[in-house]
Amino acid sequence: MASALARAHDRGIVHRDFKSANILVTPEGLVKVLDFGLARQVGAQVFEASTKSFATIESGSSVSGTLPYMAPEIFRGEPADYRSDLWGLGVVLYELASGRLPFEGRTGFEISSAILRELPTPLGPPVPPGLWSVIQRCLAKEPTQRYQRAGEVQAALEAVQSGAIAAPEPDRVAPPKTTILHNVRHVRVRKGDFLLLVGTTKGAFILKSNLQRSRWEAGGPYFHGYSVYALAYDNRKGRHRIWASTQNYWGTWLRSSDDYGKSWTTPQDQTIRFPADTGLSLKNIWQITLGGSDQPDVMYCGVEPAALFVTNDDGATWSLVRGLFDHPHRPRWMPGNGGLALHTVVLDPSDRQRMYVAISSGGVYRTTDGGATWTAQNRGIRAINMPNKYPEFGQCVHKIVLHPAHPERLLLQNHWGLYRSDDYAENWKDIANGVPSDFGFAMIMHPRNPECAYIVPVESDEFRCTCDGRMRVYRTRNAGGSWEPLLRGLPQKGAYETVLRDALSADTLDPLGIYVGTRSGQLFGSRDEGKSWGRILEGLPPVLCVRSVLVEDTAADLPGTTTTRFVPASTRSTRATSKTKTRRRKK
Amino acid sequence: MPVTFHIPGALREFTGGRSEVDVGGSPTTLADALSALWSSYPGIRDRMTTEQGEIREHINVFIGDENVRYTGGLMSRVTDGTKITILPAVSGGRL
Repeated sequence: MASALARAHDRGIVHRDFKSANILVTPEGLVKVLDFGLARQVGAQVFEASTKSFATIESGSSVSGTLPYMAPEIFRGEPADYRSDLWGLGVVLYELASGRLPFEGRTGFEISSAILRELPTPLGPPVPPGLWSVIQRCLAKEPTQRYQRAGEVQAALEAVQSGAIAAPEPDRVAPPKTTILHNVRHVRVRKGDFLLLVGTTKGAFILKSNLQRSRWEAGGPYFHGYSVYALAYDNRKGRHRIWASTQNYWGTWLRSSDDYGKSWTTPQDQTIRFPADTGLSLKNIWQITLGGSDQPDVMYCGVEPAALFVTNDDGATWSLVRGLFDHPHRPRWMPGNGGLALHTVVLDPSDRQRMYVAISSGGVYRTTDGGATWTAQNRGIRAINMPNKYPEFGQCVHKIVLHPAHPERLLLQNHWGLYRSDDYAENWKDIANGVPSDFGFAMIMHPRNPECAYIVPVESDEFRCTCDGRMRVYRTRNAGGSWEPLLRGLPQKGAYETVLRDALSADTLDPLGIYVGTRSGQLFGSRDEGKSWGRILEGLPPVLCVRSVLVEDTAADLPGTTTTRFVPASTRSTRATSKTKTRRRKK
Repeated sequence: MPVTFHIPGALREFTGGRSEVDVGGSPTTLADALSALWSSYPGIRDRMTTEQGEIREHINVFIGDENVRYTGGLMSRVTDGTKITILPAVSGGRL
């Protein structure tokens, strides 16, 4: 069936009426797909006619209508394309595997509503997990989340049939290799140095300065050609370890360095993996959050598709947090512009059982029992994208921050809307007082002053650039009662900048340093809590995340530094362009 | 004669730097040949496929000059002397 559709699609033909009644198996065992060319006759008429009744396959009568096979986009009034046929193929495969339709109902309305909103009942054994995952992908509500070509379904089904790679081996975890990076500009790091870790769409950079933070050296690019959405610095247990999530067409990999970038772990097997029964595969790691100093081997990763993973052994093995994954709301979360991502993980330092995650678009979820159970915490947050403006969940939250000394206080930047909670996210109050726009992505809290927070508003959903071509960071010093622009030293003309959700960062020094990276590849910094700014670097690939590091223990005699061919970094702030070459370390 | 894989630069870290590797065991399908490749060079499997066992979206596998997506996928026949090439698709180089 998939190969027949593939041939039709190759010829530019969309079937538009793919259903089991149109499939014929000849006595020779040949499968034929019928009724090509009826495409224009289906559509509205069939929709009307098919609301009468739907005989099931088991009853032996033919299915007269096509409603149960119609893809959700058709009900939304969007045109049918190849991917609508792949939905139909998914329905037929479900039918073949289980003997029943994935979306049933007594009336046409019930059926169409199930197609638009419900998830099919999962198919367990004897249906192989590989087949179930193919069916699930065909039945993704959004055409972009499905296979894009019938040939891909064909290949996936053949893979299931062969059993060669459809049965993943999650238990096999080969030990990571170590990769020493030669011909990459490195910075030599010593105690008392101050670093900025900068993740971009094409690699990571390490910027070095001292406590003055006025002159910078740049090392990198690390992970040449990979997007680095998340970086973290782990100084627990005397470590000086950088963690990086790296993503490109070869997959998403979590890597770490104990020598400030000279060598990195290179996992052989993917460690963060969705279990086979989920049918999902990892697309990206959006956030790396470290457990507290009393949990030095605990880390969390917020990933896309939206899920939370945890490790209790310092990243050696990871598991899916089922309490959140099995939440009944999950099937109704909708992808945002960046996909369906769990992009923010916030731990309460005063209570290890309490943590928060933010999902675009799902909203804020909280656990108070260490991740076993989760509740939606979105009361008071407006959802512009929903008919009910204050739903229980479904908000597109862009960032949440928590004040460590006042963990009851959280601030939130929504897809439109700025909010504060003073009761552990039970209730949210609008605090968009005096901002040019309440749309934005990034938000940070002052590490010492619970009244103080920073944001970078952008104009709108449609025009995600700083308002009026002026780059302004906004600060509140009364927990959102009012906001003031901080602009001295930032470009105020023709500056159509975008600051992404993790590209605004603060250090822990006094006075506070603040760093902001833009999608145009500029990095600005302030050493005086935002009063004045300077450009640290320009010409970077689009900046995804910025993290600061104060090097507190000595790193001068780290293993590996003497054996590495060291390319001295320029003392000026210049872009590092040397090509990455990797070599395996001999063990 | 065994089956020969052409390894792209990004994966040579897992083949000791070699751009071509042979796998024995007389594979008859692409699936057999890949299994043999992955057991000899473990880092390659999870870079080619997702945890659900699907070839990654922007990765293509060619037998000779033919993309296997159009020649029977993993059940494509291979014989002694077949040359298999792994390449990222042009669509993969986004942003």
